[in-house]
Amino acid sequence: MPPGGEPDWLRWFDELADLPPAERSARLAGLAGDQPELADRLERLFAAEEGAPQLLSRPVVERAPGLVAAALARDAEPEAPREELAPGTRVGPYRLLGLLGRGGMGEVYLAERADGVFEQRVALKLVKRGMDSEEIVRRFHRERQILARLEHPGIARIVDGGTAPDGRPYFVLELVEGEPILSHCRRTGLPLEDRLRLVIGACEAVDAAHRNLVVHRDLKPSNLLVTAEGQVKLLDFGIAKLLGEEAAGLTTQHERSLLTPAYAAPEQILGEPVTTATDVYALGVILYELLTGRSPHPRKRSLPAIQGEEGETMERPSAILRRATPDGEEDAAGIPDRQRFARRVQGDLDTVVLAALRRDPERRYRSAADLAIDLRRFLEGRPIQARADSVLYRARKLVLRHKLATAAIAAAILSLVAGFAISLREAEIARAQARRAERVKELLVSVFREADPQKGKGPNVTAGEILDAGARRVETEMGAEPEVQAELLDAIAQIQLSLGLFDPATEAAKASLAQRRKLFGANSAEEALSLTTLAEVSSGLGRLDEAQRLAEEARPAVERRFDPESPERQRLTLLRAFLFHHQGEREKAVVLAQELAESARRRFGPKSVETGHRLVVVAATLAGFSRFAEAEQAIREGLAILEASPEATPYQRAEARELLANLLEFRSLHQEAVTHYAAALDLQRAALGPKHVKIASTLIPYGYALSEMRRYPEAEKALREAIRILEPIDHYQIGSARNYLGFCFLGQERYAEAEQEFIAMERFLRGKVGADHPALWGARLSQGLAQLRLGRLEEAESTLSQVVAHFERNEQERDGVRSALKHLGEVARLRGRPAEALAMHRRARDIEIRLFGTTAQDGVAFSNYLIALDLLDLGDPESLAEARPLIDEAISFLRRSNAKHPTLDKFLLASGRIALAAGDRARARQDLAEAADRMRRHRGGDHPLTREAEALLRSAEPSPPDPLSQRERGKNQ
Amino acid sequence: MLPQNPTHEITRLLAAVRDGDRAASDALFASVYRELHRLAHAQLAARGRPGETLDTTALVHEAYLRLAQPAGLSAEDRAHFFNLAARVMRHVVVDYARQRDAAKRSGEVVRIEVGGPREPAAEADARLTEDLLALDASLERLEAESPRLARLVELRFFAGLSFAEIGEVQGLTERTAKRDWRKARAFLLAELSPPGPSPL
Repeated sequence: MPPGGEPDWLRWFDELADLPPAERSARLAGLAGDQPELADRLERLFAAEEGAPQLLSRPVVERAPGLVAAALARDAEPEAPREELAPGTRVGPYRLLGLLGRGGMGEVYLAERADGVFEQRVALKLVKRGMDSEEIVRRFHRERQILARLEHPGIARIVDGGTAPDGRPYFVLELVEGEPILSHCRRTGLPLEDRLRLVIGACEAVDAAHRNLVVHRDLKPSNLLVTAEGQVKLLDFGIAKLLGEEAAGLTTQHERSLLTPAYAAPEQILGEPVTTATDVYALGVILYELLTGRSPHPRKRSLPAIQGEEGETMERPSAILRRATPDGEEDAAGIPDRQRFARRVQGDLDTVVLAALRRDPERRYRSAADLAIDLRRFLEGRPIQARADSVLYRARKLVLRHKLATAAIAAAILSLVAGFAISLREAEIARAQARRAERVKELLVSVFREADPQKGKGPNVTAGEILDAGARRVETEMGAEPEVQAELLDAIAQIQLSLGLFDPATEAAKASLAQRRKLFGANSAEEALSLTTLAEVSSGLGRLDEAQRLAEEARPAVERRFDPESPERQRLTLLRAFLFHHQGEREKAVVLAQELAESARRRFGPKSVETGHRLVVVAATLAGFSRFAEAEQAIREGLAILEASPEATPYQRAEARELLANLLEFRSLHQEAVTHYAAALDLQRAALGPKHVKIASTLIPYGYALSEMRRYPEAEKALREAIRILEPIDHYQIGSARNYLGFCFLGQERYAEAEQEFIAMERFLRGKVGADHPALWGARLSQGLAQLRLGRLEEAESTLSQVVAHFERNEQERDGVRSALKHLGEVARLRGRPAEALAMHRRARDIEIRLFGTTAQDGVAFSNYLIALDLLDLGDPESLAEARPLIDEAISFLRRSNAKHPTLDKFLLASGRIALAAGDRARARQDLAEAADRMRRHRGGDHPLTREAEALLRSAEPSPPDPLSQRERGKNQ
Repeated sequence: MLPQNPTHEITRLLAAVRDGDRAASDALFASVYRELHRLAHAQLAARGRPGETLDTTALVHEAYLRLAQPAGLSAEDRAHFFNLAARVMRHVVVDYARQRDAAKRSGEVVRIEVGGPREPAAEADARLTEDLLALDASLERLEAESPRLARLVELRFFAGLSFAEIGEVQGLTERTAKRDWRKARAFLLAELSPPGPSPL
């Protein structure tokens, strides 16, 4: 390196860096003769650069944000003095004798009373200097408080406390002179039975804490000392927690950083709620170590490994003992005779240890006391309580290892998960439900096992079959646990319902109901829950009276047993709201729905996810009652809340967007609707995968909106995708998809194909829904329309008359009535009965205006057009005078709503014809010219409508027609 | 813990550092260090979820705005400040890595941070720790050859500054800063242990 300057390689690097490789090599080769070292170095630099294109390419904060954050957020400053207090220092009435140890935030000194009142030596714990942050001091006081409530021979007693002269708080403990449990066993080579007794002692101390609602959370050998008398003493409640103090007992980030990973339970590391079972886990690890000399965990516990960690993925202690200690694997527990230990441990002790170490806290020993009981039973030669994982459970693991990814099963799992996610969210402290969820999962998975591709039926098994099989198994195999049986059947019924599998859902719900009646009696809350499910099924089937009866039967018990905010109660409230709606008691229904939202506002706050979610429900209810304006207001409010809240799930946001899109469509705002549908689909696909039922049910209205926008290929694609998703599970929404696919064909004037879809729709629905179900009649309505368009007027008239008659019976089916009336009126006009047609179309328009609360609506514009055509056919001057403003209004609405509206050309054609009939040739020419022009562009020159418009235009010409057009007209007529 | 008037303090310290006052240099370092800690805490608290999206660059800039800007620093002092902040970042990160490494070797308490699914798994974590220490050592050797390049690595890799910002701090064009970075990076890569998957 030249003195004072920079080394040569820097300059050379710059010079060679941008050369093509060949040239660079040549230059380097040249340099090598002169300065071999420099050339060599440069070669290595370029090679290193090329060999690792990613390395160091981004700042450390991007590569390892967690590490940088942790580093920066550390409480301690590295230069913070670590000096300890000198022996002889006075702290309160105590004199320090020396440092015993140092923990995460405190120092422990050996001390004695300086005032000579007692001669007893004590341990004095002091907050570490420089760490007296508010958080640490609070925690320190907490530890003192906790210790003060614990009085047990196995727990070091607190004797005093105060504040040191420098302001640091301290407390004084009984001095425990002992040895950490693991090194004690190693040093003494303790026999198996004595080791178990020590662990029993530890369990008793821990249980004493548990009984005082204290969870230790940091059990490890160094916190369990064995005294000379052989008494186990539990120390260091530094990160202990009082149960119930903070709702979920979650572990904070800071606390997590204080954990000892080798002993921490999975829920601690994953930040899940901590319970007494958390301490059981640590005791399990210690027991494992004392019995085998090894930790049950590999040296590094990676996150995925922890998530998948299960008692049975750990090696059984006896298996470890049987292996002669391999090199490098030391026996940390000083086991005297491995083979003898192995023989003793194999079987029950293996089971006990692994039962304490299960991943799922619910499946561990519930408490340290339970663990102690089994250890004692073992010592006394009695059967233990813990059972090895059930066959069912192991089957589940086995099956999960297979990849059973058929569409149907994936859909079933996902809907299950989604369903539970919602119920769990609502339930908040859903211990019981979580257990139920667990059982249902176990069950379902065990059923999947039967659906294993290698076992017979192959991947074509449907969710319906799986659930059927599940219901059968629950009925045959769970007789010993009738309560769980009834609960599972109820859960299965709900899942089946959500999949649209009405018949099996009815069966399962009825079986559950019967079982619960027997177990809990009539009018019990349990019975009421099954009744609610059955009512939901009936409502889904369109048997509304029956649903109503069942819901009212369930109501007294549900209201007695569950508080108004409970999910059980609200589920029933929501159902009743819908049923009220169907009985025409719309006000009652809306009141109930708004109560749901209000209760959420009160309970969770106006901006909470829950409130947002409930507003969506309110909006859905309002929309169901055709109160679109209020519904839209509610949904927009709900959506805003959900969008703003980080806790809202994509699923919830999607739901809100989907509903908003629905409402927008009622206002013919297809463009905006399509945007919201597309966003909802993205969210749903991200949350649920591409094949979930929910996706199909969004694709369906999305396809409809697209076809309304004449984006037919996209519409067809969306609808066919929906059908593909739904077909394997034979879902009832296939009907809607086929319906809209039919509309898609109608829009393209592919009437025959449209008719086929509508027929397929009816065929599909028949037998699946009640004979009165609106969807079934919707299919017939659509067929009537196709018949009309295909020119089969007589047939159309018969079909549509039946449809109108059917819908007329139910005040709630006004929408169906007005659609059917419009088509039926058209038939009447085309069959030469314009007066009849006029009456029908006027009625349709009245209904629409009431329904939508506005005349500014596609449907109303279309009615105006139809009425104008009827009046035109009547042909008298008054009728023609009446027709003029109607068609003008219709045209101007279409122009305002969408200048490219697909039916604008037809409206213009009608306007031209009306003008011609009224003798206004100028107006006729103007409208007909525009109509013909639009038709040529959008429908093509050969389209019958285009020809009609052109012909009429020629007839409206002021000058005598020239011979050519005369000929043309003649040819066309 | 902060001096009464931190900005005034910074001006005084920077002046003293220019005069070669070693103690002032340490004090300045400590004061930037504290400020970064404080800001990191504030940022983490504001984000609610620790470890998720800490923005070091923003921290450094914010520290500058809080500590140095009101004092109306000269360009030279400003550059000095950023160099200092970057060195503090290096110190913070490497010191933390070293501590974790030591704890791991002694088999004692190993701090673990599990912030969320994006958090590196324990294994990658250990590798990261080792790589950071190796990088720190290589950086020492780079310092011996070219202090300027070592500063650059601190600014880029540890403080996350953009090349435009680095150019400003070092009085270079962005392009030169990029060229320098390429050299520094090649040097470090050649120094670092055999190539393999690395979290860096």
